[in-house]
Amino acid sequence: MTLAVEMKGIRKVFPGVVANDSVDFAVQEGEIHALVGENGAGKTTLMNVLFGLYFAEAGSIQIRGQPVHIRKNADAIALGIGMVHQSFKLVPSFTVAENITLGAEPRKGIFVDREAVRDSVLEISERFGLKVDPEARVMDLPVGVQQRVEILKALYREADVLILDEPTAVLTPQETDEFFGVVRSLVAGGKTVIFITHKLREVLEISDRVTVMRDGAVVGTKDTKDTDVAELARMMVGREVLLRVEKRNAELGEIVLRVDNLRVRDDRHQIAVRGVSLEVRAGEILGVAGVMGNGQRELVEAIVGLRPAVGGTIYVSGKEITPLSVRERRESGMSCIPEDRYVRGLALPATIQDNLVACSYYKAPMSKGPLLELDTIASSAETAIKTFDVRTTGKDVPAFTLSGGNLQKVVIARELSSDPNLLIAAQPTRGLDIGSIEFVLQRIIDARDGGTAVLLVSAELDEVMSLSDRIVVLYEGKIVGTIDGAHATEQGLGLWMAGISDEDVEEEAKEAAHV
Amino acid sequence: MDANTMAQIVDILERYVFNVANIQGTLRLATPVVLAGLCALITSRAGILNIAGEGLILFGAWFGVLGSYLYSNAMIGVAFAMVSGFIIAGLFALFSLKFRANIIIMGIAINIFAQAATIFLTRVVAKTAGVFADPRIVGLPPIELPFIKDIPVLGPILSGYTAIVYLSWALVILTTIFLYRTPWGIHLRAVGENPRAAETLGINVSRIRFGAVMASGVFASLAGVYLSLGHLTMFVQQMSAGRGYIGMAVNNFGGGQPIPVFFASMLFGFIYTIGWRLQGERIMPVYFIDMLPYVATLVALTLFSLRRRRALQKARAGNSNEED
Amino acid sequence: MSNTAGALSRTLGKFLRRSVGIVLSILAGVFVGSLIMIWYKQNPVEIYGQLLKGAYGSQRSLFIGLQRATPLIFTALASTLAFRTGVFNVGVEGQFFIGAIAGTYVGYAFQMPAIIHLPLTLLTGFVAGAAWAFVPTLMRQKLGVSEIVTTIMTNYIATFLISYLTNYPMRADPTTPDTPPIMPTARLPQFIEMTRESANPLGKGTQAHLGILVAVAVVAVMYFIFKRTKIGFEWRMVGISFPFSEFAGMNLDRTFISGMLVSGGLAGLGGSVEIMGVWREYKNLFATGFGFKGNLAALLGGQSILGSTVAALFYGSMEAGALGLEWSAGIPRQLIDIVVGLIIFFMAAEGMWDFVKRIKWARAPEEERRTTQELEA
Repeated sequence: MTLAVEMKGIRKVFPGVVANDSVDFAVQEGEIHALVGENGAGKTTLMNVLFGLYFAEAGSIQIRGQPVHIRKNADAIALGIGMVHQSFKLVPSFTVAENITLGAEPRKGIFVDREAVRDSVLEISERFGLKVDPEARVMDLPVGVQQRVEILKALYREADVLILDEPTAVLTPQETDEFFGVVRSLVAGGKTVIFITHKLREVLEISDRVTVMRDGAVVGTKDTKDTDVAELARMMVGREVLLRVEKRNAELGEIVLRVDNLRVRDDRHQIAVRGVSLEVRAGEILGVAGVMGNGQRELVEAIVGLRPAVGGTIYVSGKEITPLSVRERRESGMSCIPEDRYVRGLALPATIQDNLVACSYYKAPMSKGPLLELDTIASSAETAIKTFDVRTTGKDVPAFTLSGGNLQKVVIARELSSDPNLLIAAQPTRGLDIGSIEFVLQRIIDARDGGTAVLLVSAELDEVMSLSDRIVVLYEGKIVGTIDGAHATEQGLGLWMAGISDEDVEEEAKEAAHV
Repeated sequence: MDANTMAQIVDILERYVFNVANIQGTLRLATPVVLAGLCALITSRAGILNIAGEGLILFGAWFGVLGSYLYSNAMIGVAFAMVSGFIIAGLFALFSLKFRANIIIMGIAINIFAQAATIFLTRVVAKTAGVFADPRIVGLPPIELPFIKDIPVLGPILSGYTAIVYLSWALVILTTIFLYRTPWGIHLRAVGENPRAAETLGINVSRIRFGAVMASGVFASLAGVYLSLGHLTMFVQQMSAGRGYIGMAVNNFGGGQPIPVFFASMLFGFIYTIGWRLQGERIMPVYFIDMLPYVATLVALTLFSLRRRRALQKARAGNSNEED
Repeated sequence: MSNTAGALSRTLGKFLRRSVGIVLSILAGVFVGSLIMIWYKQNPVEIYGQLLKGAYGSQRSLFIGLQRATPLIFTALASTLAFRTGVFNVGVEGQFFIGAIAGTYVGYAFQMPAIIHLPLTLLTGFVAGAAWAFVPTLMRQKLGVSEIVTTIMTNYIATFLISYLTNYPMRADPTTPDTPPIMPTARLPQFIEMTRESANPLGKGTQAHLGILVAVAVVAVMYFIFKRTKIGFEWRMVGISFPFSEFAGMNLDRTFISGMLVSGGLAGLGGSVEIMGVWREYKNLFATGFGFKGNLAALLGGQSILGSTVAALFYGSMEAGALGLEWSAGIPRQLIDIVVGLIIFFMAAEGMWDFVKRIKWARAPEEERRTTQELEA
């Protein structure tokens, strides 16, 4: 069988991170190939290189045995590569047919030949068994159908190799089944499909072969029939825990944070948090593990007060805070290290001092009446910079001059300066170097030892496991498992993170036993 | 209801609603608003925030008068105006799109600049301050449409306007066809709604944006030359009187579609006409009448926003009922 | 330590880099202005020379410069404050006039000792200007309507409202639409009025008045507010990043609204000062473009308090020079506005990119938010 795609030695670097480190990746013609890994493993980057959106620093690509140079997106399309991204690139008010033919409309003189548009769309729709109504407006369609439109867009441009990035992330279970039917018929029609996912159950159900990536490198490629979820999960998350953080036994106090059946919508107005309940006690770190995109952002924003809850209640130290403003919640002892460091956590053009004092400027000792106490503010800023070892030339330089690690130190300095009862840390070490990571995690532990209740939301499994006293896993907006930090295993958590509950594992074991 | 009140009501209806002169005035005075609306429309559909319409109208008005003055020919005046719109909008596009200047500031700068420049140029050319009038300036003649003018009732309503009025109607239709039936119009709408989608499909987003801005310049300049050669036969300083912004508002009300924008402009044409009527009636001091278009804009924007919020809320409520 | 030297040279470098853009813009503007002058058959070097002489050459011209700069300082500050807070106040023009007419009314309608009358008239101007900015602000915060269109509408409404007022209720004389003159107790004395008898009369032949001191005081107050008060901090931070400010707990609505209202108040105060110092009755000032020139000066000054003030003073002196130019060479004084406008064009092309993002946030909170990922990738 010929190789539809062969990528050799691909190296792609972004400032501060090697996204793809000498990656070899090969796909056979007519197969369904799954590309699997955690967030940041480098899967999407690799496919973006193939699709011409990124240009690799090193490496070669061969399509059907011929070496090619893919310098821009148009090159990839011309070579028959099509990609459907996680966020669809559709024009909402246009019809299905208009979206599919956009940029390559059949013409009749200076006008668009609307009949030809409709006919050609119906034709490929029929050929590949992807049912769509050409006249329907895209924004009225459910996400599953929109995805079909995106696939048809690629097919209209005569793609032979289809790359699908997290295709089932936005689908309901029924839509997922339909989607699998689509993939099978595409392959039956002679196409090759590469799909990126973190959902191991689906990998086993639909793919012929699977490649696992981790930290920018390929861990291995297997025939799907020769492997199982356990092995894949191990390949996906197994890494040496580099961090050795000192942790005393937890001394638990009262319940500080209580979340009761919380429901929150995301920006697309879908329910992202589906009835989550949890409790965090003083002196305890509760880790919320899970691949990003399963409702973590919405959960944190709802607790902090940036996003309204559409159902459920939140209590801090027994007091209901659901109707309260952000400032009122902070006043009740809550602090937060936000996921969006550069947008929410900091004002990059403002000075470090401004960033440090933004939560405390309005009350004593930082101000007296309507006036700010500049001396107090200045000295507290300098103290914070020293205590948290922020590498900077001064407190009055704009924040954007700092490195990522130092910026996170500024955020932590500010959020811990109020000696909070409750600290929410969302993806606190994302994008940081080892030294900064250890610093951040140590500070979180110190806070916990000082009696603060900590809610740690992180997609980094080893981080969650090293720090947490208790761990829950968030998958598709629900808590799918709870376990003590001491008893948690990577494998077990990995399975939960991939949507496979304990019952599923038992089922598989039973079936394997009967074979 | 007694006979007196009836008579009064009939009288009001006769004078303000079923009145040929009013309808004619509405159509006429709506024309610059229609063109200003198209100016705002074509750029907003391409995803560009264009507030330079006011300045472009003023420049169009001035250069139109200049052309007519130099050659004693109204059509040459219109040509001058359109070229000025093209060029100035081109500069605007260059600075905002290519040089990445803040487009809002550029728009404000163009508007301020237009005010100062037109006064300056008037002083230079006509040696007067604020008004450029001269017997040499030829205005646009009214055009009587051969068969239509004889149709009872509709005849006088449809015939007898200057060329730009008819042109504006044609442009509304042409713009609709352009946006919905031609590939470039479709691409323009795609660029306005989701430029990343358009880009990944090989559409030259930059070129489309440039084209949209320059087209808006031509529309605006037509609005201006209508004011200076069609409505009056002179240039008066600040004669655009906010129509550039009112154009933005009617584009808002018309949802970015040419035909609804046309009808929204009619409303303003009506307000201008009524204003002129009321002035004659001496019901209230003329200044309150002058305020009408601007107050109307505020009121209309308020009502429109309220209605949109309510519709959004209803849609949201509908969605949430389908959740698990 | 070498750290300080390094820091110093870095700051200097940054300053120089930023100034290069400004200097180039000024040169470009001046160059295009020269082209206009050449077309007008004048020698640009001579003209610019006369302009500068007219602006700075004599005591008289300095005073004229101060007088013309006074209203611009107010409107430039108003514009700057709004911009820094993250809103666009293009209604400065209308707020200025409303402040002027309100001040005029209080100026002539009441009899009281100067110690009360003067500050009261000033206060009236401020309050009137703020009130005039209220409706657009409300429409922006509660309805999401762009303040650009609404503030401009209020400009037009203001001019007509004032025309009505000066023609009917506030009319002094049946033949001309002028208001009664304001009481002497509400006037800001002009320099020549104060020093007429002395050996060295100041500001002879000019109408320069103490309003410049009021302006300077207001600049100082605004500077103080921005640097040392809670509300100033909020204005600054919300203008820099409203997602951050929201996260930190600040009340965005209150900040935007207060920023706009004070901005309107500053413009109104300027209008009142202009009446109290120069005209002493409401005269039709509509064609003078105080508001828009203030916008231009704010842009020139890089939207900082001190920068706008310097720019306004500069603009004022240039106007003085342009006036002289008009008398001597017959070149219309709008030339200055054109050259300044050109300079702004070139300066704006530097790319105030951050600002556009701020505006986008203010318009549609449902829009896609930039994530750390995008920034890191």
